[in-house]
Amino acid sequence: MKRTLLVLMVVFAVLSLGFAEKVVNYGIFEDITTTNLWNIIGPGSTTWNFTVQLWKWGSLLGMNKDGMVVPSLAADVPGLVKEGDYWTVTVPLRKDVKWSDGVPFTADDVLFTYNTVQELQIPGGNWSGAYEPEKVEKIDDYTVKFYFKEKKTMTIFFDTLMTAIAPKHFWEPYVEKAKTMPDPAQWLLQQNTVEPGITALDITKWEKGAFVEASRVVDDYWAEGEKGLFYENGGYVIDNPKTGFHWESSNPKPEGKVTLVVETGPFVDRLTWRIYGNRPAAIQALLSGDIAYIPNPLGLTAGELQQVQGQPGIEIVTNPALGFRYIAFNMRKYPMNIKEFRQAIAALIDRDYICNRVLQGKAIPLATPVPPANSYWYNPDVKTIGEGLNRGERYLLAIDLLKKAGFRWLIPPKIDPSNTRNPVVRKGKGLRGPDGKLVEKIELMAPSGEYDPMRATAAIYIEQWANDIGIPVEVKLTDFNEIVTRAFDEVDFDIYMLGWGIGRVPTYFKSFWYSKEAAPQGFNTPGYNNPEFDALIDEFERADNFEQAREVIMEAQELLAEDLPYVVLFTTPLYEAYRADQVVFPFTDALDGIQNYYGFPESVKTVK
Amino acid sequence: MSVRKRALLLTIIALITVSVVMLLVPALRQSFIYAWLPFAAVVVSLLFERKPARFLALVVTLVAYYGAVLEVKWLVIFSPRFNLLIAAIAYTFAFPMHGLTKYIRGRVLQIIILLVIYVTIVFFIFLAMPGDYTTKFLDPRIMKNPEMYERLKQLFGVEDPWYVKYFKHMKNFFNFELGISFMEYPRPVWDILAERLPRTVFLFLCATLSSFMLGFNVGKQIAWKRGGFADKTATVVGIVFWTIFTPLFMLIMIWLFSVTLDLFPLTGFIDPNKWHGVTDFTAQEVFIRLLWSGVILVLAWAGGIALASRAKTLKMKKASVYGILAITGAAVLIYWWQSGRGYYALDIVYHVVLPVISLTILGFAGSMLVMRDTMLEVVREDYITTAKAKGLPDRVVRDKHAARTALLPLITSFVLGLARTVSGGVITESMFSWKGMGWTLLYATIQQDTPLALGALTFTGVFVLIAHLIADVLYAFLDPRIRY
Repeated sequence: MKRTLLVLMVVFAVLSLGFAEKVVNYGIFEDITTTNLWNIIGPGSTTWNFTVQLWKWGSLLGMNKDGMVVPSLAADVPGLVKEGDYWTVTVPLRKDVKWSDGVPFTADDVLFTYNTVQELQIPGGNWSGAYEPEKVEKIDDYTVKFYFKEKKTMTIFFDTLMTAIAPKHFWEPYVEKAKTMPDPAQWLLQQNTVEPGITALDITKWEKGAFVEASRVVDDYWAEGEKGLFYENGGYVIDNPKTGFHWESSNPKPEGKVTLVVETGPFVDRLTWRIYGNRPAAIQALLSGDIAYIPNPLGLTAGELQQVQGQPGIEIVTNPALGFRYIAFNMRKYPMNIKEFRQAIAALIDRDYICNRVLQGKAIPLATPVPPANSYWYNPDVKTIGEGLNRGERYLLAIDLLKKAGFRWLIPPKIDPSNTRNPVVRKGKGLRGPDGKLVEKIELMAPSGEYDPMRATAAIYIEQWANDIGIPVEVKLTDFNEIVTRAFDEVDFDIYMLGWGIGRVPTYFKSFWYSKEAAPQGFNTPGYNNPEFDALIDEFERADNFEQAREVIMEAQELLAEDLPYVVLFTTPLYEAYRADQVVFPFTDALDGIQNYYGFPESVKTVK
Repeated sequence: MSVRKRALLLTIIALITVSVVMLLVPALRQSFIYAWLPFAAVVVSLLFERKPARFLALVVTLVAYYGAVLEVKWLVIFSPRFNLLIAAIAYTFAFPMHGLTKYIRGRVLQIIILLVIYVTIVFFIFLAMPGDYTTKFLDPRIMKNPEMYERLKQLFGVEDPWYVKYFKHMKNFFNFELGISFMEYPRPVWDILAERLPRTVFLFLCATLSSFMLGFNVGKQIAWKRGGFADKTATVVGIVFWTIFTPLFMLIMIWLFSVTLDLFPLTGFIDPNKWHGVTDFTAQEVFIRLLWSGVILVLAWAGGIALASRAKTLKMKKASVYGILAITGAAVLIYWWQSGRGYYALDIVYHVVLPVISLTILGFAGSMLVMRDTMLEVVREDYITTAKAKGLPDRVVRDKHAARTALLPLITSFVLGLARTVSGGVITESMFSWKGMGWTLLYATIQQDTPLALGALTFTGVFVLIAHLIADVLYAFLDPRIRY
């Protein structure tokens, strides 16, 4: 009898486990502000709105883990064709996609999205791609054609065709009503409704200030079991055994071994994002197992990393961040307008020493504004000036560069490169420029230690190295806002040190260094003006294909390393922690970390 | 009653009756607003003493009133609603008033002036902040699209000159429109404040009440046994917590009670696992009902005390207070039980315990020391010595004679403390992930969401001003020595 009871209890326990709801909890630091797509992509484009919801909508094209442009709602990656006065893109759509309420996705949804944005003038930077097409035309239910006035290849592929698509059948009545309102866009943005997505999970509960919950709302999900296969040669395949959809990359064609398979689930019944008002509380929740992961663009701080390291069940992943720290020269001012002067400063900066010795491996040295992990766009041939030289040799190289440009000293520096510990025998003094005038104090503005100890420390080293050979650099550790105001608004600086968070596609090259983007109107704070660089950027913008765009960016990186409007210093790794005893992610080695994939809502698995 | 007073009363009754009739008949409402109400107001005023100052007040009233109802551009100060407010206050100066009513009238006028000054100062502080929402937040790509950039600037009104912004703000404020939040565009500020307010009020009301009760009780006990061990210990402990670094203390509390002992939830105000599948109501609704339950219990307690004051014996006094409280408490419990929301209300109450304990420990010293110091003054009074000489028990002398008088200064700090409950606490709300008014104010300021930050600040400012008025009036009622 006892044995039977025991067996029954075991069977019951096993069955309970089998039928137990699979729930995953994540932690976020702020509440979402809306569930309305028009608002999320528009004025409400906050990190947290994106993290919790952006994954539920699709765009025509997407990017895979390696940065390759791949079809998402489109059936293939289309080409750009010249037709009369227009450049056109004809996009074939997938026929197997359904909205989460069961309505099929068609060309009408695509037309509706682009037309609504343009017609109602929906505000917000992330909708800017939807303003590009002159016209969007429906060829048939599963083919749309875009007409563009200019051949802005990168904008078309990375903005326009990567714009989120809204469900027409849901939004049409709202849009029609909005048109009768005094401010249609504002009225539409105010509607807080939960619309269907193209995913099986959808937002089912939002308890303001406490949590947001997504639950499985589709039983027969069109994408369930769809696989993304990554090949060792960089090729990529999308395979959906359920609907029969299959797509292969053409450049390169998939060959060799499959290195990674990412399968679409969902593998959970419910995903909850709990809101924490402060970071320590969220970390405690992670440690106690209340949450499995904290999707956060900044990752863990050094203190938090120490706190979670070695804790049972916690797995720490390190990934390169999409961003870089740099110093920028004001090329409008003397002597920063002299290329050799900038090169001499660059030669003095030993990134490896700063990153590995001073910052003890907490930063990754960078030679170009494209992080190496962004492998498609990164130029590995770009070397920094003085790379591989010891300290003394760097001093000598900088002195030579300055002499070449006509700089002289009242008391020239004396360097002994054989003395690796202290190669400076005599410090230089009284640096005079090619015109014979004394070089006045050069101010290097950097954020204070409280704001960013890494940059503050790096700035002090740069000052020391420059002073050793008589360049009168003086560090001013100051408020972040002062640097931004003086660099971007007043354009009144000598050298400043800041950082950029960047996108995967180097469209930022234009913003940062194109001559027409000069500050204060644009972000080109150095005032860099090189027709050769401008021509490369124009070519990049209008490239016929991605390969051509890539080659141009490679060349642009070399040019920047030579001209040095910026000296790119380092990037910081992004540390993230998750509970490996609760969840399994399809991959964790990703540029900008797991957070860049919002914690894989549709692919995360629970640990059995 | 004199003939004059009787005539006055009859006239007022007649005027009110006609007014009610006119209001009830839709066709007469226009006539009521434009003619009858001003006429009745003038008649009532003229029935009292006739002095130049009263006539002047009457003229101001009529100008402000007609400025509002006819929307005469040059007669409207900020907004028609503000004009009506001015008209109402000016009208009170058209009567002779004495004592407390005169004092309240003066205070109300002061508060209105203070309110205008306060809203103006807050506005200019935010205006002086560098940058604006568009330069701070807009995606750089939008800069490439000048048309859209201009449209957004226009939408947010950031290009207007300062005086236009100021008058827009004052007009909106006195029309009870706080604008639209930038951070949560296009959500109205009122909507956001209404969402956050119940949570904050619930947490800080509980904390203020508990720290007041603890401070009052400990304060009177230690003052009665001044210099004893309890006095020294309570004072030292109170001051230590009063001066402790709040974030550190709260983290210690979370670490100790939530992480180590696992007695309370880590943070937040609800447990997502318990609230999963709840679709027919929200935490917000439960918060509001919990607040109402609290208000009902407090009213029952006050009612019990009022009843007790009429009771003859101590037994009856106790029975009336505890009896009414018990009956109301039981009714409230039954309500929660049958509403099907009791389980969720308990979840919220469970989440509020740790923050309330933390806030009480941090804040009780304030009330305790005020109570202690006042009690020490009071116990030296002759009437306390007389009470003791009469042979009254110590407890009676302490609680009924000394503590009651000593309570007055505490009442002021308590009422002001109550007003501050609407502003919440930045640190507490951040530490316990209690997304309320304090958190909202902090983030709105950091993010330069001017309408939301202004809205939150002015809203709390108004509450503090009103609380000052209530405290003054309460003083007049509670302390027979105070005369105005």
